[in-house]
Amino acid sequence: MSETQPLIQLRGVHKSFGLVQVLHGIDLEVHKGEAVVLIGSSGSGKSTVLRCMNLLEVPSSGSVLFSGIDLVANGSRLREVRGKLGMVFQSFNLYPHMTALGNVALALRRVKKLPRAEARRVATEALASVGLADKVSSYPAQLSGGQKQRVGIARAIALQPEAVLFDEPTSALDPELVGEVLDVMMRLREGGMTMVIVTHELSFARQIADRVVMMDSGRIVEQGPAEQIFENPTQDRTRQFMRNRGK
Amino acid sequence: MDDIVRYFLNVEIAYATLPDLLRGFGVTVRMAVLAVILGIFGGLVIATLRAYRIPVLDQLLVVFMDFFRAVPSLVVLVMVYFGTPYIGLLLSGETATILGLALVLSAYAAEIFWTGIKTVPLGQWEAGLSTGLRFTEVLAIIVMPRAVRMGIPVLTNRTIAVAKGTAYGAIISAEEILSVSLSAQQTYANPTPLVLGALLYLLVFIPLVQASRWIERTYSIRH
Repeated sequence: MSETQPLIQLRGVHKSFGLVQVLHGIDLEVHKGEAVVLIGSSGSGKSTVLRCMNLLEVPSSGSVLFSGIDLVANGSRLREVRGKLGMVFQSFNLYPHMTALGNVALALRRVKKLPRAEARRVATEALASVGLADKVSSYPAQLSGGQKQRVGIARAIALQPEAVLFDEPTSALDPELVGEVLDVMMRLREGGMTMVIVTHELSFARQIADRVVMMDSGRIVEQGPAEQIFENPTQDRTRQFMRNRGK
Repeated sequence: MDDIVRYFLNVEIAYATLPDLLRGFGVTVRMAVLAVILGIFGGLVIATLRAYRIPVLDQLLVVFMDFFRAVPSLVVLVMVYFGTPYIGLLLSGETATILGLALVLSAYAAEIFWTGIKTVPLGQWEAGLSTGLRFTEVLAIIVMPRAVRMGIPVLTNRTIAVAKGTAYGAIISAEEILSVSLSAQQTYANPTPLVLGALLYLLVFIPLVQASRWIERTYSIRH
Protein backbone atom coordinates (compact mmCIF):
# COMPACT_ATOMS: atom_id res chain seq x y z
CA MET A 1 0.00 0.00 0.00
CA SER A 2 2.92 2.38 0.57
CA GLU A 3 4.08 1.89 -3.00
CA THR A 4 0.88 3.25 -4.51
CA GLN A 5 0.64 7.00 -4.88
CA PRO A 6 -1.43 8.58 -2.14
CA LEU A 7 -4.70 10.14 -3.25
CA ILE A 8 -4.16 13.26 -1.17
CA GLN A 9 -0.82 14.52 0.00
CA LEU A 10 0.29 17.49 2.03
CA ARG A 11 4.07 18.09 2.00
CA GLY A 12 5.72 20.57 4.29
CA VAL A 13 2.59 22.70 4.48
CA HIS A 14 2.86 25.89 6.48
CA LYS A 15 -0.04 28.29 6.77
CA SER A 16 -0.20 31.73 8.31
CA PHE A 17 -3.11 34.10 8.56
CA GLY A 18 -1.42 37.46 8.72
CA LEU A 19 1.03 37.25 11.59
CA VAL A 20 -0.50 34.15 13.12
CA GLN A 21 1.08 30.88 12.03
CA VAL A 22 -1.55 28.19 12.14
CA LEU A 23 0.20 25.22 10.51
CA HIS A 24 3.85 24.31 11.07
CA GLY A 25 5.20 21.93 8.48
CA ILE A 26 2.39 19.41 7.97
CA ASP A 27 3.18 16.15 6.16
CA LEU A 28 0.11 14.02 5.66
CA GLU A 29 -0.98 11.33 3.23
CA VAL A 30 -4.39 9.90 2.56
CA HIS A 31 -4.58 6.71 0.52
CA LYS A 32 -7.46 5.57 -1.59
CA GLY A 33 -9.99 3.65 0.47
CA GLU A 34 -8.82 5.04 3.81
CA ALA A 35 -10.89 6.80 6.41
CA VAL A 36 -8.63 9.30 8.17
CA VAL A 37 -9.92 11.23 11.17
CA LEU A 38 -8.25 14.39 12.42
CA ILE A 39 -8.69 15.08 16.12
CA GLY A 40 -7.39 17.73 18.46
CA SER A 41 -8.45 20.74 20.48
CA SER A 42 -10.02 23.82 18.91
CA GLY A 43 -7.29 25.87 17.33
CA SER A 44 -5.09 22.86 16.69
CA GLY A 45 -5.28 23.50 12.95
CA LYS A 46 -7.20 20.40 11.95
CA SER A 47 -9.85 22.26 9.94
CA THR A 48 -7.15 24.28 8.22
CA VAL A 49 -5.38 21.06 7.21
CA LEU A 50 -8.64 19.73 5.75
CA ARG A 51 -9.34 22.96 3.87
CA CYS A 52 -5.85 22.90 2.36
CA MET A 53 -6.71 19.60 0.70
CA ASN A 54 -9.13 21.24 -1.73
CA LEU A 55 -7.31 24.55 -1.59
CA LEU A 56 -10.04 26.48 0.14
CA GLU A 57 -7.02 27.54 2.15
CA VAL A 58 -3.88 28.12 0.12
CA PRO A 59 -0.72 27.09 1.99
CA SER A 60 1.80 29.84 2.70
CA SER A 61 4.43 27.29 1.72
CA GLY A 62 4.60 23.61 0.93
CA SER A 63 2.61 21.58 -1.56
CA VAL A 64 -0.79 19.98 -1.82
CA LEU A 65 -1.14 17.08 -4.21
CA PHE A 66 -4.16 15.18 -5.46
CA SER A 67 -3.37 12.01 -7.39
CA GLY A 68 0.07 13.46 -7.88
CA ILE A 69 -1.19 16.78 -9.28
CA ASP A 70 0.32 19.77 -7.50
CA LEU A 71 -2.71 21.96 -6.89
CA VAL A 72 -0.86 25.20 -6.20
CA ALA A 73 1.33 24.88 -9.31
CA ASN A 74 -1.50 23.70 -11.56
CA GLY A 75 -4.24 26.21 -10.93
CA SER A 76 -5.96 25.27 -14.17
CA ARG A 77 -6.66 21.77 -12.89
CA LEU A 78 -8.09 22.91 -9.56
CA ARG A 79 -11.70 22.89 -10.72
CA GLU A 80 -11.29 19.42 -12.15
CA VAL A 81 -9.83 18.18 -8.85
CA ARG A 82 -12.54 19.87 -6.80
CA GLY A 83 -15.11 17.98 -8.84
CA LYS A 84 -13.48 14.80 -7.54
CA LEU A 85 -13.19 15.94 -3.91
CA GLY A 86 -16.47 16.45 -2.11
CA MET A 87 -16.75 18.62 0.98
CA VAL A 88 -19.27 18.70 3.79
CA PHE A 89 -19.33 21.78 6.00
CA GLN A 90 -20.02 22.36 9.68
CA SER A 91 -22.64 24.99 8.86
CA PHE A 92 -24.07 23.01 5.94
CA ASN A 93 -23.76 25.91 3.46
CA LEU A 94 -26.80 24.91 1.44
CA TYR A 95 -27.99 27.40 -1.19
CA PRO A 96 -31.09 28.89 0.46
CA HIS A 97 -32.92 29.86 -2.72
CA MET A 98 -32.85 26.33 -4.18
CA THR A 99 -34.65 23.17 -3.18
CA ALA A 100 -32.76 20.15 -1.89
CA LEU A 101 -32.89 18.77 -5.42
CA GLY A 102 -31.62 22.04 -6.84
CA ASN A 103 -28.75 22.12 -4.37
CA VAL A 104 -27.61 18.64 -5.35
CA ALA A 105 -28.25 19.00 -9.08
CA LEU A 106 -26.45 22.32 -9.62
CA ALA A 107 -22.92 20.97 -9.86
CA LEU A 108 -24.14 17.93 -11.81
CA ARG A 109 -25.39 20.26 -14.52
CA ARG A 110 -22.63 22.81 -14.50
CA VAL A 111 -19.53 20.78 -13.63
CA LYS A 112 -20.39 17.30 -14.87
CA LYS A 113 -22.40 18.87 -17.71
CA LEU A 114 -25.26 16.42 -17.32
CA PRO A 115 -28.48 17.29 -19.13
CA ARG A 116 -31.26 18.53 -16.87
CA ALA A 117 -33.29 15.31 -16.70
CA GLU A 118 -30.22 13.18 -16.03
CA ALA A 119 -29.02 15.58 -13.36
CA ARG A 120 -32.40 15.43 -11.65
CA ARG A 121 -32.30 11.64 -11.69
CA VAL A 122 -28.82 11.41 -10.22
CA ALA A 123 -29.63 14.07 -7.63
CA THR A 124 -32.81 12.26 -6.60
CA GLU A 125 -30.84 9.04 -6.18
CA ALA A 126 -28.25 10.80 -4.05
CA LEU A 127 -30.95 12.27 -1.82
CA ALA A 128 -32.64 8.88 -1.57
CA SER A 129 -29.33 7.31 -0.50
CA VAL A 130 -29.21 9.66 2.49
CA GLY A 131 -32.86 8.99 3.33
CA LEU A 132 -34.34 12.21 1.95
CA ALA A 133 -36.28 11.01 -1.08
CA ASP A 134 -39.40 12.69 0.29
CA LYS A 135 -37.66 16.05 0.75
CA VAL A 136 -36.47 16.72 -2.78
CA SER A 137 -38.75 19.74 -3.19
CA SER A 138 -38.10 21.20 0.23
CA TYR A 139 -36.12 24.36 0.73
CA PRO A 140 -33.29 24.41 3.30
CA ALA A 141 -35.33 26.64 5.60
CA GLN A 142 -37.91 23.86 5.85
CA LEU A 143 -35.41 21.21 6.90
CA SER A 144 -34.01 20.26 10.28
CA GLY A 145 -30.29 20.56 10.92
CA GLY A 146 -29.75 16.84 10.45
CA GLN A 147 -31.68 16.89 7.19
CA LYS A 148 -29.73 19.90 5.96
CA GLN A 149 -26.46 18.17 6.62
CA ARG A 150 -27.65 15.03 4.86
CA VAL A 151 -28.49 17.22 1.84
CA GLY A 152 -24.96 18.57 2.14
CA ILE A 153 -23.62 15.02 2.04
CA ALA A 154 -25.85 14.16 -0.93
CA ARG A 155 -24.57 17.27 -2.71
CA ALA A 156 -21.01 16.09 -2.17
CA ILE A 157 -21.50 12.43 -3.13
CA ALA A 158 -23.73 13.06 -6.17
CA LEU A 159 -20.62 14.02 -8.12
CA GLN A 160 -19.18 10.57 -7.36
CA PRO A 161 -16.03 12.00 -5.87
CA GLU A 162 -12.88 10.03 -5.19
CA ALA A 163 -12.88 11.27 -1.61
CA VAL A 164 -15.09 13.33 0.69
CA LEU A 165 -13.79 15.86 3.21
CA PHE A 166 -15.91 16.41 6.33
CA ASP A 167 -15.29 19.57 8.35
CA GLU A 168 -16.88 18.98 11.78
CA PRO A 169 -20.07 17.74 10.15
CA THR A 170 -22.04 17.35 13.38
CA SER A 171 -20.67 20.19 15.51
CA ALA A 172 -23.55 22.53 14.66
CA LEU A 173 -26.27 19.96 15.27
CA ASP A 174 -28.52 19.42 18.24
CA PRO A 175 -27.44 16.18 19.96
CA GLU A 176 -30.52 14.22 18.91
CA LEU A 177 -29.86 14.98 15.25
CA VAL A 178 -26.22 13.90 15.27
CA GLY A 179 -26.98 10.20 14.97
CA GLU A 180 -28.75 10.38 11.61
CA VAL A 181 -25.75 12.13 10.06
CA LEU A 182 -23.22 9.73 11.57
CA ASP A 183 -25.30 6.81 10.25
CA VAL A 184 -25.12 8.21 6.73
CA MET A 185 -21.38 8.72 7.07
CA MET A 186 -20.90 5.15 8.32
CA ARG A 187 -22.87 3.76 5.39
CA LEU A 188 -20.78 5.83 3.02
CA ARG A 189 -17.68 4.35 4.61
CA GLU A 190 -19.04 0.84 4.30
CA GLY A 191 -19.46 1.54 0.60
CA GLY A 192 -15.71 2.07 0.44
CA MET A 193 -15.54 5.87 0.14
CA THR A 194 -12.25 7.53 0.96
CA MET A 195 -12.98 10.00 3.76
CA VAL A 196 -11.08 12.63 5.69
CA ILE A 197 -13.02 13.73 8.74
CA VAL A 198 -12.45 16.45 11.30
CA THR A 199 -14.63 15.75 14.28
CA HIS A 200 -15.06 16.06 18.02
CA GLU A 201 -17.17 12.88 18.14
CA LEU A 202 -14.45 10.61 19.51
CA SER A 203 -16.44 7.42 19.84
CA PHE A 204 -17.57 7.81 16.24
CA ALA A 205 -13.98 8.52 15.22
CA ARG A 206 -12.94 5.30 16.84
CA GLN A 207 -15.61 3.34 14.96
CA ILE A 208 -15.05 4.76 11.51
CA ALA A 209 -11.35 5.54 11.30
CA ASP A 210 -8.62 3.44 9.76
CA ARG A 211 -6.15 6.02 10.91
CA VAL A 212 -6.40 8.77 13.50
CA VAL A 213 -4.25 11.88 13.32
CA MET A 214 -3.84 13.81 16.57
CA MET A 215 -3.03 17.50 16.11
CA ASP A 216 -2.00 20.24 18.50
CA SER A 217 -0.91 23.83 17.90
CA GLY A 218 -0.55 23.38 14.15
CA ARG A 219 1.52 20.21 14.28
CA ILE A 220 0.78 16.52 13.96
CA VAL A 221 1.46 15.05 17.37
CA GLU A 222 1.03 11.46 16.31
CA GLN A 223 -0.95 9.28 13.98
CA GLY A 224 -1.78 5.62 13.78
CA PRO A 225 -4.56 3.03 13.80
CA ALA A 226 -7.61 4.11 15.81
CA GLU A 227 -7.15 1.43 18.44
CA GLN A 228 -3.57 2.43 19.06
CA ILE A 229 -4.23 6.14 19.35
CA PHE A 230 -7.15 5.67 21.68
CA GLU A 231 -5.76 2.83 23.80
CA ASN A 232 -1.99 3.31 23.71
CA PRO A 233 -1.04 6.79 22.65
CA THR A 234 2.70 7.30 22.58
CA GLN A 235 2.64 11.06 23.15
CA ASP A 236 1.77 12.88 26.37
CA ARG A 237 -0.27 15.46 24.50
CA THR A 238 -2.47 12.71 23.07
CA ARG A 239 -2.87 11.09 26.46
CA GLN A 240 -3.84 14.43 27.95
CA PHE A 241 -6.38 15.06 25.18
CA MET A 242 -7.99 11.65 25.70
CA ARG A 243 -8.06 12.05 29.43
CA ASN A 244 -9.72 15.45 29.20
CA ARG A 245 -12.48 13.89 27.18
CA GLY A 246 -12.99 10.97 29.49
CA LYS A 247 -11.62 8.43 27.09
CA MET B 1 -64.10 80.82 -2.61
CA ASP B 2 -64.86 81.92 -6.18
CA ASP B 3 -61.38 83.38 -6.39
CA ILE B 4 -59.85 80.07 -5.34
CA VAL B 5 -61.69 78.25 -8.09
CA ARG B 6 -60.85 80.92 -10.67
CA TYR B 7 -57.19 80.85 -9.79
CA PHE B 8 -56.44 77.25 -8.93
CA LEU B 9 -59.21 75.20 -10.49
CA ASN B 10 -59.97 77.15 -13.64
CA VAL B 11 -61.70 74.68 -15.97
CA GLU B 12 -61.23 76.68 -19.18
CA ILE B 13 -57.52 77.09 -18.67
CA ALA B 14 -57.19 73.47 -17.58
CA TYR B 15 -58.91 72.37 -20.77
CA ALA B 16 -56.71 74.63 -22.90
CA THR B 17 -53.45 73.52 -21.35
CA LEU B 18 -54.26 69.82 -21.00
CA PRO B 19 -52.82 68.66 -24.36
CA ASP B 20 -49.42 70.21 -23.61
CA LEU B 21 -49.49 68.88 -20.07
CA LEU B 22 -50.29 65.39 -21.27
CA ARG B 23 -47.33 65.59 -23.64
CA GLY B 24 -45.22 66.64 -20.65
CA PHE B 25 -46.62 63.67 -18.72
CA GLY B 26 -45.44 61.37 -21.49
CA VAL B 27 -41.95 62.88 -21.34
CA THR B 28 -41.78 62.47 -17.56
CA VAL B 29 -42.87 58.85 -17.77
CA ARG B 30 -40.45 58.08 -20.59
CA MET B 31 -37.53 59.69 -18.76
CA ALA B 32 -38.36 57.96 -15.50
CA VAL B 33 -38.69 54.51 -17.08
CA LEU B 34 -35.47 54.78 -19.10
CA ALA B 35 -33.46 56.28 -16.24
CA VAL B 36 -34.60 53.52 -13.88
CA ILE B 37 -33.89 50.69 -16.33
CA LEU B 38 -30.46 52.03 -17.29
CA GLY B 39 -29.61 52.92 -13.70
CA ILE B 40 -30.42 49.50 -12.24
CA PHE B 41 -28.74 47.68 -15.10
CA GLY B 42 -25.69 49.90 -14.75
CA GLY B 43 -25.58 49.22 -11.02
CA LEU B 44 -25.66 45.46 -11.65
CA VAL B 45 -22.79 45.70 -14.12
CA ILE B 46 -20.69 47.79 -11.75
CA ALA B 47 -21.31 45.55 -8.75
CA THR B 48 -20.47 42.45 -10.81
CA LEU B 49 -17.23 44.02 -12.04
CA ARG B 50 -16.31 44.90 -8.47
CA ALA B 51 -16.74 41.26 -7.47
CA TYR B 52 -13.78 40.39 -9.71
CA ARG B 53 -11.54 42.84 -7.86
CA ILE B 54 -9.70 43.95 -10.98
CA PRO B 55 -6.90 46.30 -9.90
CA VAL B 56 -7.21 49.91 -11.04
CA LEU B 57 -10.68 49.31 -12.47
CA ASP B 58 -11.97 48.58 -8.98
CA GLN B 59 -10.61 51.87 -7.64
CA LEU B 60 -12.09 53.75 -10.59
CA LEU B 61 -15.49 52.17 -9.94
CA VAL B 62 -15.32 53.25 -6.30
CA VAL B 63 -14.54 56.82 -7.40
CA PHE B 64 -17.50 56.67 -9.79
CA MET B 65 -19.84 55.39 -7.10
CA ASP B 66 -18.73 57.95 -4.53
CA PHE B 67 -18.89 60.84 -6.99
CA PHE B 68 -22.38 60.22 -8.29
CA ARG B 69 -23.79 59.59 -4.85
CA ALA B 70 -22.20 62.70 -3.39
CA VAL B 71 -23.03 65.26 -6.07
CA PRO B 72 -26.65 66.48 -6.00
CA SER B 73 -28.72 65.07 -8.88
CA LEU B 74 -29.55 68.52 -10.22
CA VAL B 75 -25.86 69.38 -10.44
CA VAL B 76 -25.20 66.11 -12.30
CA LEU B 77 -27.93 66.93 -14.81
CA VAL B 78 -26.55 70.43 -15.35
CA MET B 79 -23.01 69.05 -15.78
CA VAL B 80 -24.19 66.48 -18.31
CA TYR B 81 -26.28 68.93 -20.31
CA PHE B 82 -23.80 71.81 -20.42
CA GLY B 83 -20.62 69.73 -20.37
CA THR B 84 -21.21 67.17 -23.12
CA PRO B 85 -21.02 69.67 -26.04
CA TYR B 86 -17.35 70.10 -25.08
CA ILE B 87 -16.71 66.46 -25.91
CA GLY B 88 -18.66 66.67 -29.15
CA LEU B 89 -22.00 65.37 -27.86
CA LEU B 90 -25.12 67.45 -28.32
CA LEU B 91 -27.79 66.00 -26.06
CA SER B 92 -31.38 67.12 -25.79
CA GLY B 93 -32.65 68.12 -22.37
CA GLU B 94 -34.58 64.89 -22.19
CA THR B 95 -31.59 62.69 -23.08
CA ALA B 96 -29.33 64.56 -20.68
CA THR B 97 -31.87 64.07 -17.90
CA ILE B 98 -32.13 60.35 -18.58
CA LEU B 99 -28.35 59.98 -18.74
CA GLY B 100 -27.70 62.04 -15.63
CA LEU B 101 -30.32 60.25 -13.54
CA ALA B 102 -29.14 56.86 -14.82
CA LEU B 103 -25.60 57.69 -13.70
CA VAL B 104 -26.82 58.67 -10.24
CA LEU B 105 -29.08 55.62 -9.84
CA SER B 106 -26.38 53.26 -11.13
CA ALA B 107 -24.03 54.54 -8.41
CA TYR B 108 -26.62 53.92 -5.69
CA ALA B 109 -27.70 50.59 -7.16
CA ALA B 110 -24.08 49.44 -7.43
CA GLU B 111 -23.53 50.23 -3.76
CA ILE B 112 -26.70 48.38 -2.82
CA PHE B 113 -25.87 45.29 -4.89
CA TRP B 114 -22.24 45.30 -3.75
CA THR B 115 -23.32 45.40 -0.12
CA GLY B 116 -25.64 42.49 -0.90
CA ILE B 117 -22.77 40.52 -2.45
CA LYS B 118 -20.58 41.11 0.58
CA THR B 119 -23.36 40.05 2.92
CA VAL B 120 -23.74 36.61 1.37
CA PRO B 121 -21.88 34.29 3.77
CA LEU B 122 -18.47 33.06 2.69
CA GLY B 123 -19.74 29.52 3.22
CA GLN B 124 -21.98 29.89 0.17
CA TRP B 125 -18.94 30.72 -1.97
CA GLU B 126 -16.97 27.84 -0.45
CA ALA B 127 -19.75 25.33 -1.01
CA GLY B 128 -20.06 26.32 -4.67
CA LEU B 129 -16.32 26.41 -5.32
CA SER B 130 -15.73 23.11 -3.49
CA THR B 131 -18.01 21.35 -5.98
CA GLY B 132 -15.91 22.63 -8.87
CA LEU B 133 -18.05 25.57 -9.97
CA ARG B 134 -16.26 28.53 -11.56
CA PHE B 135 -16.12 31.86 -9.71
CA THR B 136 -18.45 33.38 -12.30
CA GLU B 137 -20.92 30.52 -11.92
CA VAL B 138 -20.98 30.89 -8.14
CA LEU B 139 -21.44 34.64 -8.51
CA ALA B 140 -24.22 34.39 -11.07
CA ILE B 141 -26.18 31.41 -9.76
CA ILE B 142 -25.65 31.43 -6.02
CA VAL B 143 -24.57 34.88 -4.86
CA MET B 144 -26.21 37.51 -7.09
CA PRO B 145 -29.79 36.25 -6.69
CA ARG B 146 -29.37 36.57 -2.93
CA ALA B 147 -27.60 39.93 -3.18
CA VAL B 148 -30.30 41.40 -5.39
CA ARG B 149 -33.15 40.15 -3.23
CA MET B 150 -31.48 41.51 -0.14
CA GLY B 151 -31.20 44.93 -1.74
CA ILE B 152 -34.80 45.26 -2.91
CA PRO B 153 -36.25 47.42 -0.11
CA VAL B 154 -33.42 49.92 -0.21
CA LEU B 155 -33.29 49.85 -3.99
CA THR B 156 -37.00 50.58 -4.50
CA ASN B 157 -36.79 53.55 -2.13
CA ARG B 158 -33.75 54.93 -3.88
CA THR B 159 -35.30 54.35 -7.32
CA ILE B 160 -38.34 56.43 -6.44
CA ALA B 161 -36.15 59.21 -5.09
CA VAL B 162 -34.03 59.32 -8.24
CA ALA B 163 -37.05 59.04 -10.55
CA LYS B 164 -38.53 62.15 -8.97
CA GLY B 165 -35.40 63.90 -10.23
CA THR B 166 -37.02 63.94 -13.65
CA ALA B 167 -38.54 67.24 -12.47
CA TYR B 168 -35.02 68.72 -12.48
CA GLY B 169 -35.13 68.23 -16.23
CA ALA B 170 -37.13 71.47 -16.31
CA ILE B 171 -33.88 73.34 -15.62
CA ILE B 172 -32.17 71.84 -18.64
CA SER B 173 -35.09 72.30 -21.03
CA ALA B 174 -36.58 68.82 -20.96
CA GLU B 175 -40.25 69.37 -21.74
CA GLU B 176 -41.63 67.41 -18.86
CA ILE B 177 -44.54 68.16 -16.54
CA LEU B 178 -42.95 70.91 -14.46
CA SER B 179 -41.49 72.85 -17.35
CA VAL B 180 -44.74 72.66 -19.36
CA SER B 181 -46.91 73.68 -16.43
CA LEU B 182 -44.57 76.57 -15.57
CA SER B 183 -44.77 77.96 -19.13
CA ALA B 184 -48.52 77.54 -19.17
CA GLN B 185 -48.76 79.33 -15.86
CA GLN B 186 -46.72 82.21 -17.23
CA THR B 187 -48.75 82.34 -20.44
CA TYR B 188 -52.12 82.46 -18.68
CA ALA B 189 -50.95 84.22 -15.48
CA ASN B 190 -52.91 81.57 -13.64
CA PRO B 191 -51.65 78.76 -11.40
CA THR B 192 -54.22 76.18 -12.54
CA PRO B 193 -51.67 74.46 -14.82
CA LEU B 194 -49.40 73.98 -11.81
CA VAL B 195 -52.24 72.29 -9.92
CA LEU B 196 -52.85 70.09 -12.92
CA GLY B 197 -49.12 69.37 -13.10
CA ALA B 198 -49.07 68.33 -9.45
CA LEU B 199 -51.96 65.94 -10.10
CA LEU B 200 -50.11 64.47 -13.06
CA TYR B 201 -47.03 63.91 -10.91
CA LEU B 202 -49.21 62.00 -8.45
CA LEU B 203 -50.45 59.96 -11.38
CA VAL B 204 -46.87 58.98 -12.17
CA PHE B 205 -45.51 58.40 -8.73
CA ILE B 206 -48.32 56.92 -6.69
CA PRO B 207 -48.43 53.85 -8.96
CA LEU B 208 -44.63 53.70 -8.71
CA VAL B 209 -44.79 53.76 -4.93
CA GLN B 210 -47.46 51.06 -4.90
CA ALA B 211 -45.51 48.94 -7.38
CA SER B 212 -42.45 49.20 -5.17
CA ARG B 213 -44.44 48.13 -2.14
CA TRP B 214 -45.74 45.12 -4.04
CA ILE B 215 -42.22 44.21 -5.18
CA GLU B 216 -40.93 44.47 -1.62
CA ARG B 217 -43.72 42.31 -0.30
CA THR B 218 -43.33 39.64 -2.94
CA TYR B 219 -39.61 39.41 -3.44
CA SER B 220 -37.71 40.68 -0.47
CA ILE B 221 -36.24 38.27 2.00
CA ARG B 222 -38.20 37.94 5.17
CA HIS B 223 -36.09 37.47 8.29
